[in-house]
Amino acid sequence: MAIRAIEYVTIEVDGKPVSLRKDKPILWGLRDKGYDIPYFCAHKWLDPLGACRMCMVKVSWNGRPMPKLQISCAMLPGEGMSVETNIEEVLTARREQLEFHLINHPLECPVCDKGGECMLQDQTYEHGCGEGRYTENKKVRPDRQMNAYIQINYKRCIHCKRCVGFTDEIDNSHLLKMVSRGAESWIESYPTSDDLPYFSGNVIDICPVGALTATNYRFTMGRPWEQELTASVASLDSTGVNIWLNGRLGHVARIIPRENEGVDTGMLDDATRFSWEAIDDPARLRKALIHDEGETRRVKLAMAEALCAEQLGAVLSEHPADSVGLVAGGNRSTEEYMSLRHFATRVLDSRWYSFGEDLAGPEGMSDVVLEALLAGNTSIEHILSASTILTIGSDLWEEAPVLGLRANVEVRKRHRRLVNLRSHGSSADDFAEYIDYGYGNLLRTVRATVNALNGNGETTPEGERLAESLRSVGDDCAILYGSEVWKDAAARELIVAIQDLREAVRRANDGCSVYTNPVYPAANSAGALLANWFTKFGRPASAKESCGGVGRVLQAAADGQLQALVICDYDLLSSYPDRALVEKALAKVKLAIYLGSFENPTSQRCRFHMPLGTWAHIDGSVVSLEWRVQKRRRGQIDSVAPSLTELVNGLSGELGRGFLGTTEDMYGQLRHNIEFWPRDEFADFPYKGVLVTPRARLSASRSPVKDLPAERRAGAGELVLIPKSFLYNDRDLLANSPVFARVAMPFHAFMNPADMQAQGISDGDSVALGSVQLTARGRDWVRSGSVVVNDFCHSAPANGMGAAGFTGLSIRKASLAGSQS
Amino acid sequence: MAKGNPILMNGIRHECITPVSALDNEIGIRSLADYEIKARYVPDGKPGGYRAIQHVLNNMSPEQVIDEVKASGLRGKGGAGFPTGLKWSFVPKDHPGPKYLAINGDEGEPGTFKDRYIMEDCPHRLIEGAMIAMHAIGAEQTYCYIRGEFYDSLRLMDEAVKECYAKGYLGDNVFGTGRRMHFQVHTGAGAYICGEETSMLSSIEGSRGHPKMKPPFPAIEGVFRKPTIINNVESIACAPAIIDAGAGWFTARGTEKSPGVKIVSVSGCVRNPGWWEIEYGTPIGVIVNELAGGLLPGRKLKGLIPGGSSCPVIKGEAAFDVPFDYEGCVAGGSMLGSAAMIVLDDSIDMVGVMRNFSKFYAHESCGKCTPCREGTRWMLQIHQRILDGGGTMEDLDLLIDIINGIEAKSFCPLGDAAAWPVRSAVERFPEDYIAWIEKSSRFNALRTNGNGSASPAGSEETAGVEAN
Repeated sequence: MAIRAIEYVTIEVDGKPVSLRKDKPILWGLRDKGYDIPYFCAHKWLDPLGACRMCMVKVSWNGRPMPKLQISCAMLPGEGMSVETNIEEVLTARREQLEFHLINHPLECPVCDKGGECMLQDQTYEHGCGEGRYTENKKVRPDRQMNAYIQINYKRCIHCKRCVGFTDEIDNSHLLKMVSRGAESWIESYPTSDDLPYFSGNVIDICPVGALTATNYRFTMGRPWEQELTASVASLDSTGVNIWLNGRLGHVARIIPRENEGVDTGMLDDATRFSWEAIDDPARLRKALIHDEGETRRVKLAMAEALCAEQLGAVLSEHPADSVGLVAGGNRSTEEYMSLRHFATRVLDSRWYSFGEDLAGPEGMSDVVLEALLAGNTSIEHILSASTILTIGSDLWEEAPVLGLRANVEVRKRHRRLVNLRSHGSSADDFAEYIDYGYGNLLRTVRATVNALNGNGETTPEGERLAESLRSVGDDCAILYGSEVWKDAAARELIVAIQDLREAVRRANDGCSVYTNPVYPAANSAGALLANWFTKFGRPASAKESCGGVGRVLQAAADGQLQALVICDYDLLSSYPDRALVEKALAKVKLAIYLGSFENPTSQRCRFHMPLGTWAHIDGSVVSLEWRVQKRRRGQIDSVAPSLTELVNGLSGELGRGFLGTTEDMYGQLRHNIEFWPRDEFADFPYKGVLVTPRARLSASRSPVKDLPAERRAGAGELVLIPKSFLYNDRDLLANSPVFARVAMPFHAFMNPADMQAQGISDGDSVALGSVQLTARGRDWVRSGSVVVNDFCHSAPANGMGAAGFTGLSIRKASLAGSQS
Repeated sequence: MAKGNPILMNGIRHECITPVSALDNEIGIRSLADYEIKARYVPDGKPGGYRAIQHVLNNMSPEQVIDEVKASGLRGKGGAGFPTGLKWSFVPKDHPGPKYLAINGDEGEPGTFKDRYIMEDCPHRLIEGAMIAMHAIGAEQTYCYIRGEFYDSLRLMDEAVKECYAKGYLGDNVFGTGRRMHFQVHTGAGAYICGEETSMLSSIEGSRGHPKMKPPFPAIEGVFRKPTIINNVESIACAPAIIDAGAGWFTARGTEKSPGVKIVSVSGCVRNPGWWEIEYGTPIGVIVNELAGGLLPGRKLKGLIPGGSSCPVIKGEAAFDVPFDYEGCVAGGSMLGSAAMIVLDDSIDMVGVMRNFSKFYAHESCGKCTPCREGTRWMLQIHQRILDGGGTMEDLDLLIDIINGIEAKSFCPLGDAAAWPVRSAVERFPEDYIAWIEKSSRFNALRTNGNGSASPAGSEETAGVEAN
């Protein structure tokens, strides 16, 4: 279902002709045109409910007025329609309904957190009668906690039921329901098990009054009008969700969604929304740390820079070229990557650098893979309007939550098809076709599907099944692939095989459009790609090309080729798939320098830990999975820590290599050298970002491979270890937000209940996975014969549970003595 | 009484002082065998049940059935009076999926007691009617939604349905014709709102009994989002008579616009409350004075509600001259509704009546839309305050303002039902309200002079609850 042209119809409104969209209720059309029709229960995400009765207008058809006033939220425009929004009958009705809304609403606006951004307040001011006639007793009910993040204030509730609609229609959590009847009814919450909510925070935004407020915001962070808003971009995933970063008195006050209809339509995930506390947390580093022989010293940044440069200079004077490795996590801005690139090539004179997480596995990137990554990329709007959406090795709710939620809404409301190929089930599968490929056999399954679609070569049952559902995809098909692809040992072949699949699907469906988009592991992985392969994307700017991947840098370090290792904001020990390699590399290098905002297991193993501003402190551009270049603006908050650009400039200065350039200079280089980069100036970059089409100069040639790799199974009595990327994990921003310390993060060994029963393990038991102990949790979405663990956890690192890659584990119940030791 | 004696379709004139005792002894063609032998579709017809449906299945196309019902002028007996045959013709004929018939037996309107007697006394009549309707609209499944409190109706209907299944009258091959017809008895949980058709559908689906948005109308998208025809128990029970005796029998009775017969249930201040089947157009005076035995000695008629608690009150003896049909009742200042006549004599205080009505509607409002949810509760609070001695003259205007805010602005007709009787009481019987208000203001004045406290009476009871 490709994007269709919008049809319009002209109707008469208050005596004037107005052209409105045919498929949208007149309420939205008229509000967009500036008619102030009040409403509470309607919301553009939700089906019309018609409960609040505020949006009533007088409607006539061909001059014949309808006897009753009509609710405009449920009325579609049509030929011969005329609407009166401003006659006495309508105005009276608004006043009456508003009076009804207000009779049980407490007049406590001065102490209500919603005050200043409250729909009821605004509409009372605009349309109310100005005085109350209600002298009876108001309804009361004590407040309660809705879930870990949200408090319900029942007295303020005006029963619009938007929140109930959201949990029913949008995120399908059914967290909220109406209870009892009539004026005595109330909203009851039903939090399920110990799973954390993913989208519950959206009900705070859609509540038209202050009945639902965030526990970490209410009563503490001031009033909305005191806050300074900054248009920024969320940092936890690669969707590029737009946010407002609110600052007050130099501190972060909260994060709220900023609507970008092309990306998020105003939806925001809970992890992003509530993670703002970490930005100002006392745990964030303001000074540098020097770990020296078991002792930690806290020193001023300037002094640490001098010391660090001294030691780095010593290394460089001994080994002038290719002796220092440099890796960076995927959440820095593109400008920072560019300055790091200059630092690596011009100051360190090293080709051992790589930014962002490894996409192509330990062997590193190649032209063929890069071409495959860029081929067929399209916008989120096109992905969501595709008739069939196929995800490969990606749980969208965990890896790109807002995209996953929107995809589910499309599936439910507009009857799209969603096919998930994954090693385990998920809550995102409720309305999807789910195909299990058996962990470790993704390449085998994808190639088998290609063979089945092409009708030649070997195939497998899973491949047949997937091919069957891809034989009739409809008008177009969008393929999204994610974490399980990046983590696969054969990631290089896999990324290429997905392009073969794209070709095969296109051929099987009469040449329909098929798109492929990677769901990157971090917010700015695409920006990191640009900086890594700058010579391929832009004009050749520096001689030394990246070595190709984090794995290669670590391998070089472990082999003793590198003297020093600089790690920027990347918790390698907890999250790099091969922990042994990281351990070896860190042990081998003489000097390890960590640049980052928070302490973590990796930073504690480095001699120097330089403080770094978080994403909220730094201006810079990020590139999302749809190649939307957006500007992440620095919030109106104080920062004592520098950006990566400032830091490497400082180090470069101390090393006597001169100034590398400011953030604006870096942006200028991107804009000047990369043909497809937006032409806008850095200072006034468009608020909704710019979609670009990446082009690279690649010399790739390949032919499809039909051979299937051998099937991999766990040994007898063993369970396959599946490290899964969760939204909630121990990345710095989440590990250091107090709100997440109060809830149960998904750090469990998720097992199939049948497996647990077979092994005599009950829910909540402690089990040993290799040398690590975890609590066992029975979940139906885990395939029998496997155990799912969080791939990013400080206390129980999944990469420490067995060898890198495909691992079979024999799970045993931890003995009491074992769990005590 | 223009057209002769009141009649019953079952041929038995049924009067009762206490309905339940009479039921157990007198009529009640409850078993299938009795129904097949004894039951008469019309008083002067020949006995024998399940004739009409067999005739329909063997000789009539769905269109012919619909045309016959249309020709009879049968109007929905649930309250709105929508022509039944016309309603049946709304079902899309080429709809590929299943279609449903839903029978509304959620007889919750205060004052109404007619459907339960059909379901309890003559359940097979209803089942046969449902089969005719299913044939007409092309449905294979009927849901009969019975009010939760009607335990006897539920039990007896269940037994009757079982008998029919056992004998092959319902099931996958009814009367050996190969037609599939299923009948499911579904009980409510005691919510008045589930008598509203879309709420009833929500309830059948297992959801909360909240009304749904129209359009799409149930005939296009009803229960389980499939075309559904919703009829009252009494309307469906009329179908066999129309088929058997012909549309002409029906149109010969009643008035031109409201042809046929109607069960009226009379309650209130009469000597002999009960239910009778009468011809439309019978003057209310005849129903009250001849059938219900008239008012108690020495009493005068103060007001009369012809159609159940949701209809306006007609004031005074003038009500006796109103002809009992849809148009006549509207001309008389009220509505026929579900023909639940409530007679109020001069011993009745209208404020108390309206307090009770408001309490009912405030309790039964589903809480979906604002005017009904908040307005009914507010009306109740005002009535209670007036009765507690805290009324003021402004309350009368306030009540009318509240009613203006509810009437025609609520999501479903429950709001209108709550508003209309109170409007009629305030407008037609203001003296009752004024009497309470004057009495209490005299009392308050005395009390204020007595102890110096100016607090309005009645607020002590509920004081202590937070009032913002």
